[in-house]
Amino acid sequence: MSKEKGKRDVLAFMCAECGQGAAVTAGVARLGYSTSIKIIRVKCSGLVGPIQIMDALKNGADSVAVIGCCFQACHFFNGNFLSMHRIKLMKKLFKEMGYSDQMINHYTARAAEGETAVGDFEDAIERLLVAEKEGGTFA
Amino acid sequence: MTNSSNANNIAEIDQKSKSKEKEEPRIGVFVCHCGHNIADTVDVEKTIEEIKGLDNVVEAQHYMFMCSKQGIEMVKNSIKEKGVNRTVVASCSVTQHGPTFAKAIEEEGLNKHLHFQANIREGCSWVTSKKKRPEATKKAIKLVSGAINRARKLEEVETKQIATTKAALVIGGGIAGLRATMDLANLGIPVYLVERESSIGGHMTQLYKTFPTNECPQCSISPLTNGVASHKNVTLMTYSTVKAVEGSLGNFEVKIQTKPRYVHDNCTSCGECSANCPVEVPSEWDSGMSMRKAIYKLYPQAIPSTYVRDKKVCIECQTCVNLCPVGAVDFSMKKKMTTIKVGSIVVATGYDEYDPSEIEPYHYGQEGYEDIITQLQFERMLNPVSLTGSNILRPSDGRVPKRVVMIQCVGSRNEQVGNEYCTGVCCMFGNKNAQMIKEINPKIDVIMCYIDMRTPGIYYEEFYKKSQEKGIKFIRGRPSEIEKDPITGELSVIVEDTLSLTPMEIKTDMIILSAAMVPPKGIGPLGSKLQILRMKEGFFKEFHIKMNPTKSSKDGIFLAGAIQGPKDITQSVAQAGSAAALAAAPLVRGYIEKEMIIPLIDHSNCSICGICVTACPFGALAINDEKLELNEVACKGCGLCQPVCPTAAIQLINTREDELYDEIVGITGGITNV
Amino acid sequence: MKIGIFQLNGCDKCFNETYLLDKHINDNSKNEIFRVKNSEVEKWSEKDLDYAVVTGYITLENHEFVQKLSKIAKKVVGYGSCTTTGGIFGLAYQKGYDITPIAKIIPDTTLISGCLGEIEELSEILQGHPIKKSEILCTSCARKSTCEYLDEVTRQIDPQEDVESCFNDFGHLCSGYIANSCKEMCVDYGTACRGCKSSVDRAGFRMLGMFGTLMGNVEVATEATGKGGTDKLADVDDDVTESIPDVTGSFFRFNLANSVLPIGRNQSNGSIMSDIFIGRPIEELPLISGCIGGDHSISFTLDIIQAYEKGLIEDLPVSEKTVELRNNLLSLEKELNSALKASNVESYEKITNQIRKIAGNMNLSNLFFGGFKVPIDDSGDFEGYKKSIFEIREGDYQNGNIKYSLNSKGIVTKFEMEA
Repeated sequence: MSKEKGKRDVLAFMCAECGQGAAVTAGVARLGYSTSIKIIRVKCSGLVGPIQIMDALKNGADSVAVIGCCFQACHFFNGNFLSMHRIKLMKKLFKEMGYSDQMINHYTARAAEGETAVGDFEDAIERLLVAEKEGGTFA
Repeated sequence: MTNSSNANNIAEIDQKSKSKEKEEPRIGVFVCHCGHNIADTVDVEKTIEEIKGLDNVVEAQHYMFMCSKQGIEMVKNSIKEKGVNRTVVASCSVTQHGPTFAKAIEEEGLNKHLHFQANIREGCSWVTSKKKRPEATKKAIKLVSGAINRARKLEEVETKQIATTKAALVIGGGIAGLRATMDLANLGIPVYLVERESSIGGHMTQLYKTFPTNECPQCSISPLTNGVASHKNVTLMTYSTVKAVEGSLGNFEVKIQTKPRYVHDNCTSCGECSANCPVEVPSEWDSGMSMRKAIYKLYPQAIPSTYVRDKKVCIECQTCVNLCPVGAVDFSMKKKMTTIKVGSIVVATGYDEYDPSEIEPYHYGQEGYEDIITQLQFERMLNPVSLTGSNILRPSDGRVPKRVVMIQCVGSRNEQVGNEYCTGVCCMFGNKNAQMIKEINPKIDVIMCYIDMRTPGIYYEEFYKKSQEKGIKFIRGRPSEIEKDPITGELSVIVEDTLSLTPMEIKTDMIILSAAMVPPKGIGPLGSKLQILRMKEGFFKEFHIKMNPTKSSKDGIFLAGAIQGPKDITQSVAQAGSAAALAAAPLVRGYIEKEMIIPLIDHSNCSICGICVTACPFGALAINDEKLELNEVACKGCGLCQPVCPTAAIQLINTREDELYDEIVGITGGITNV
Repeated sequence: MKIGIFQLNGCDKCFNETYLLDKHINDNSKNEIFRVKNSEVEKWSEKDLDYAVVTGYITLENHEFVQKLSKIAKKVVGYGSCTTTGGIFGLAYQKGYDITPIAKIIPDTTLISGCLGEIEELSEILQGHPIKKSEILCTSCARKSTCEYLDEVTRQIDPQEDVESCFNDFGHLCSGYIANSCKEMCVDYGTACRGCKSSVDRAGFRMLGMFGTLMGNVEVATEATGKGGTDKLADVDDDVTESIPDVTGSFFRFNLANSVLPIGRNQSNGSIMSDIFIGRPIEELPLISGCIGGDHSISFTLDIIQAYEKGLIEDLPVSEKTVELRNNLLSLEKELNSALKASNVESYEKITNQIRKIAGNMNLSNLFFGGFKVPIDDSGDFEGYKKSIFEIREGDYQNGNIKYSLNSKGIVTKFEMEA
């Protein structure tokens, strides 16, 4: 079922603070990454819930990465942590249903360092490849 | 504003949004070439071709520079001529030109929130190789269709005015904090100046001379210290630290703890107490280069001039209590907590000098290596009350050194200690102190070991030339080690002259380390109290390094001086002025404008469980009389309440579940006609 | 009016309940009601119906029949959670059973969710009245929540210790937030709601989002990312995953097949019963069997309970009073079956009310390991049959025709039921 390289859709929900900041810094520094990555801007990673993640996966996204600020640096106190708790439960749910849990991930990034965002993107794609290899994706 | 009126407002907004839904969306899409920046990687024409047939798209155009006057006119004309009521501009990031287009549509009578920005530059063309043009184009098409889908349901968001508290807090009484305080106070704003030490002035008052004019810093700063202390708008709070900060731009509530001085303000500064105090300890202020008593002042001109008792070393002999002619000494004083309300905060807590003992081969601070000192110690050696009598003498034996070697970049430009940055001012103060040595005792041989001599700016390079003329020797190379002859006790600096590629061993009897400027102790806890971000180097992070270097990551909190990274006095003063102006603006105007990006509550589906109340980081939600209520002023529109609601009864305006769904489908499906 | 009532697969509980239509529809004698069950369904050949009421869960084989119903009946009604959302049998979706909520076959079906479906609602529909929008369960629940972040999640609670605080505040998951208030009201019988009558779409995920957030103080494992030393969610098991050993069964008890999750890829264990029970925690077993056992739910649930009680012996003692109450229930079950055989509506109603009096509701919420969760009447001798918090012990357990094994965390690893 594996798709042609670069034809995947990895939806990256990135917070408007460090997440977007890191993505923009990566852009300004011309750090390249796969065209599979499509960024959706949200105010805080804590705004993304299971509903959005499932909306994405059910409508053609191959994987979802939620990217927020670093620990203790969330601009809205603990939005990133709350999101992590939910995604962790979803990961367990996916495993219980017999699917890979590698298509959904939560990362952090630093606005001043574009590499952190690119690192997150690369990790998300690597994990998606693992999920595909194991035949654990929804596709 | 009461909570019940908020609830009514929400009901109003609800109705308004319903009426808006009836209006057919007419979307104008504009794709920017950004010169070559986007167009070289993304096929802009093809993007337009693909998206122009999408539902509700009534205008689809591309242009070389959408942010130019002509580009903006294009957006405006589409509103005037084609009745466009939602705009999507696919260009750079929201932060860069989102506001440009939002303003443009506002000028044409549309609410600025009806604009949506698709980022196809930082998010697509700049991060994709030009060789991958087809893929990049496809990605851009997906991003634009996502944006069109998202734009379809955008609603107007009103902007409200919120009154501000006309008072400011400045944290840190060094040169930056003083300048900011003075500038704010002169604008008629009441200022609270909080200083950790017992007197104001900061590092500048520790210096012997300032470059490049070799002026006396005490003379330069005293008008400011005296001025601030006597200003009618300034409340000086020395020996104090910030304990808690709550609130947001315009209305902060800050708790400040003041340590007891054990001397009341009626102290006349006569000095009787200190003169007769039997306890003597090395002075921290003078980096151990002089002694102080248990009851003391940091330095003779210290402001406030009230003495302070060091409880830790005091033997409580009561001599001072008995001697004080005005009875100012009082051992029973307690620490006290003050709560103040301010509208803006300026953080100017400065820097610490790097502690070179971390660099093992330099042996700083080790027994037998007393003749290795830092530049700040050297400055204090020259102060009038120093142990050396302001002469240049070796700390170990009090002899006049024949040769002094200065080592630059100690703790700067050094990956091993984790500081990659250049402190930027060490070359200048190194040169200044080298010249001071030559002026005081021309017989002393002065050698500076440097990596690069960095002296940019007016009079700075000239200053370096002057050093050379004064016979100071320069060796280009970072010393690898300082050795001590076990028999003679003589120090030698091992360095390779990288210009002549000669290994050298420089015998010397005194060494001065140009230690870096590092974030001050306690910056971490202060950062978390203020809820502002730090950079990986530890300093507070500015909002934008070029465009907004004096604003912190949080609204209403500004940065002045070395807290935002190493700076010299000139830069610190300039930054302090900028921070003061920014901090003053909302206070002088008397109000701030708040965009009502708030969640809308569907009370009929709300199960009043309270999870949103718990999740809200700003305490904006509360359950009163079995009804969920929102304090819209406290709300920051983060949307944390949205995914936690088990019944989807709370939805952030313009980021509703269905709107996010539309964007997701727009991107994953590429082109979708919903 | 011609009404067809069709029981497809599952426990018959809702199908049996439709006997009560006689009591609820005015002038029901004017209506012609066809009751068609299981294997007879395929042979059914009536051509014209005003209403087709579907009960039980729908498998792939039933799709054609359900399509047919939509053509011959003016209106199709899905009655009971198994039909509307896959229900409790939908848990087998995790093991690859393709159970389909009826609206995925006929989108304009009228849905009456609930385990059981409420007969009052069905009769309203059949008389052409709209159903009143029900309130959210929590508004009629005696317990109230504060929703402070939880430090830990509790699998067992003593419901009588505090009768005012929400189960969730103790860290014990209750899905009342996403449920409409109903006749069964498990929450009144010391049992957390599992959301059989959900008030929102994708209720499982919404509840997961809510409870996941509520677990804010439970430690979630993170690790350093490869680049830049930022952090990410770690793959290892942590307090969050340990806290909820069965995410599927906890949040998707009645709506897994309707959850937007794709069909489970786990190997089936051979029978739908074992597929439903394997993976569930021991304390949830009676709650599932109470919903699933149809006209044998009492003996089925007691078998499960007694198997474990036998295994723990004196660590889970059973009082005489408890045994007496259980025996009462068992004889009521026998009477119920005779009433059903005789299609005696009057005695069906009488017996079910008697069962409700002891077991709380038809899902047997009050029936539990070691005793009963809440007092049955006001006689005041509750201590004589009160359930206790019990130990989780690994092992094999058997009683009657039920056999199951638990792992050290109290999760069912094997489940067998002799025919």
